[in-house]
Amino acid sequence: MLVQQLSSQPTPTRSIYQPIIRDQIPEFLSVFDFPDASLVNGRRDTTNVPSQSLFLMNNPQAIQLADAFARRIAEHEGDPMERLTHAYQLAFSRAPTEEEFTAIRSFWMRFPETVQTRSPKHSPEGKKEAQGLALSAFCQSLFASAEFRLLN
Amino acid sequence: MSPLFTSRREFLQTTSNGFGYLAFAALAGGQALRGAPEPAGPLAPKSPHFAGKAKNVIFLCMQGAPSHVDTFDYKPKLIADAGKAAPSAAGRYGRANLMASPWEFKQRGKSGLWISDLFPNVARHADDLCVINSMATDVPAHPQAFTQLHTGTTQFIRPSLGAWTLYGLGTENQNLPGFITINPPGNATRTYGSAFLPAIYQGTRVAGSGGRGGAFARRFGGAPTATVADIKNPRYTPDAQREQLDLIQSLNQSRQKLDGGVSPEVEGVIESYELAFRMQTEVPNVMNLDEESAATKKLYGIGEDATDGFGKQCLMARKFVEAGVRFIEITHGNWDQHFNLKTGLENNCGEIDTPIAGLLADLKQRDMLKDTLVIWGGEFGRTPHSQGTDGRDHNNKGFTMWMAGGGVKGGMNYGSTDGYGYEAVENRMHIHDWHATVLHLLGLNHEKLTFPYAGRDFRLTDVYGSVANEILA
Repeated sequence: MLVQQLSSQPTPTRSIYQPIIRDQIPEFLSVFDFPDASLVNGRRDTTNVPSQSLFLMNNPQAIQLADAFARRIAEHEGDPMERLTHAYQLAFSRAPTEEEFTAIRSFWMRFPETVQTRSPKHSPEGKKEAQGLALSAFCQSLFASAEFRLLN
Repeated sequence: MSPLFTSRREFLQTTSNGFGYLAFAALAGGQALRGAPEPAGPLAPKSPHFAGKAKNVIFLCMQGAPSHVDTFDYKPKLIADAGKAAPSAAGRYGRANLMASPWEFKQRGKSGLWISDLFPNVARHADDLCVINSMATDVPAHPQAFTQLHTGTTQFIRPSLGAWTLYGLGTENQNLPGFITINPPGNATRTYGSAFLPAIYQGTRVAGSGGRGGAFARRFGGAPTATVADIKNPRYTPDAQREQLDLIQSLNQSRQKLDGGVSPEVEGVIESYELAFRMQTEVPNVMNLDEESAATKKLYGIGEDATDGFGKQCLMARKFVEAGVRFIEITHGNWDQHFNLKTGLENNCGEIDTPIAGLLADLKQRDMLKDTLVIWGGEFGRTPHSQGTDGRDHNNKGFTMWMAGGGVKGGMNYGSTDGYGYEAVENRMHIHDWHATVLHLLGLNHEKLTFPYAGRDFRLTDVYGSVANEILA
């Protein structure tokens, strides 16, 4: 039970120290170069491999966190530009550049059209659902971007 | 939930700039990356130390320690002296008597190798097998010996054979993992781990849903649910995900511009996303067995109850080799026949005999066996004396593994145990020697394949190991 809690239950809090069970390294950590818990390790590897990209693109935990971030952005007061800027401030502590803004707009033009929805695509419910999914996909994109992944 | 912009129209209205194509310039940059990747980086194919005959390895790992005296190590003296007290005595549970194999041995092929009736189909490939009868390992306990089989050490966390191979040679197909381990025991991450080698050299698990081992892996005989972790998006179609990825790549390009135009780190992230996106298609394609002919499936025993699971795994291994995966390991358990030897061992062998014979035949007919090294064996063997009335105990002093293809001589026995099959007496091949030999077959010098860690250079074979030159073709 404890193992399950420690290894597979994500919590919405940041951790500085976290208990680790040697052979139960959470996937989120192990995929990002968590050192072997049975070895002394003076310097962590900093690899950049597709399994990390697959995790950020497809892992249910990554998607859940994007959903949570999307809810937070959607509740932010202000017009869409202010919400977008708020998302950037939270994720990167800066405003989006003109170029980024253009890329996001292009995404916003296309993604809701492409994404599959449960309700018929052009019904009001379908449109709303597509917008919600687009916002989550946008938030996930911020998490997945190099700026979020790399320290410097 | 109110979205970022309530509609596209609102989005356009709130934007001050025109309908620029800046984003698409960035996307065009991303497009170029979707072509064939330049093989570079730590997984790119590397030249071996010398020309090796084996390019790929398929390791059929029999977890639990299969009995050698009932399969590939023919001991007439054991039959003759059955029932007598074991000379070195000492079953763990008191006095023990020698037990003849319940199965008949026959000479097979032109070479006349002795193989028991447990492997009638593998036996038809006798002339391709190099049967090593003189294997030895340090400890007669599963966790330590299983670890030593993979890493050379019984007690420390060290890189596994597959990880060393990938480190030494890289891999041919950058759209697939270079080291794949199918159905690994849930608690044995060290058998495919990279330890102090960079994490990219660790094995990629193909196991039950979510990539978990344990109970999932044990039930994984059916194979269709087996997958690589996070290989499929649970929510978006590939088209929608491509749109999302185009956004991610645009943000990455933009980040690179902010960094002054050149950033190897960001470039690496960009490439890794394109590779991951291609893997999402390529991995399921290779693992999909639907396109294989009925004849091929039959060859591997797919569709028969006993052999379906392992047959699919063997066929998948062939497809992985074809696709350029360097090292594939398939674990089959459980071979720990302390009791119930007669039915237990017979069932186990029945599950793998046809699939392995099919794999060897298929590799041969595709002309792949010459550069694919197929290895069969477990962490140790079993005692010639009985445990109870229908079992055998652990035996680390002498056991059998065999190899085929990939530059080993076929139709030969290498080394031997004593008359009863208890201890290796001739050409003893410790796990270190076996590791040295496998690396040699791949064109790697086990004394030169090193990695610096904690102040010294480490080897798979530590300070041991000698290549068994006699078995090289």
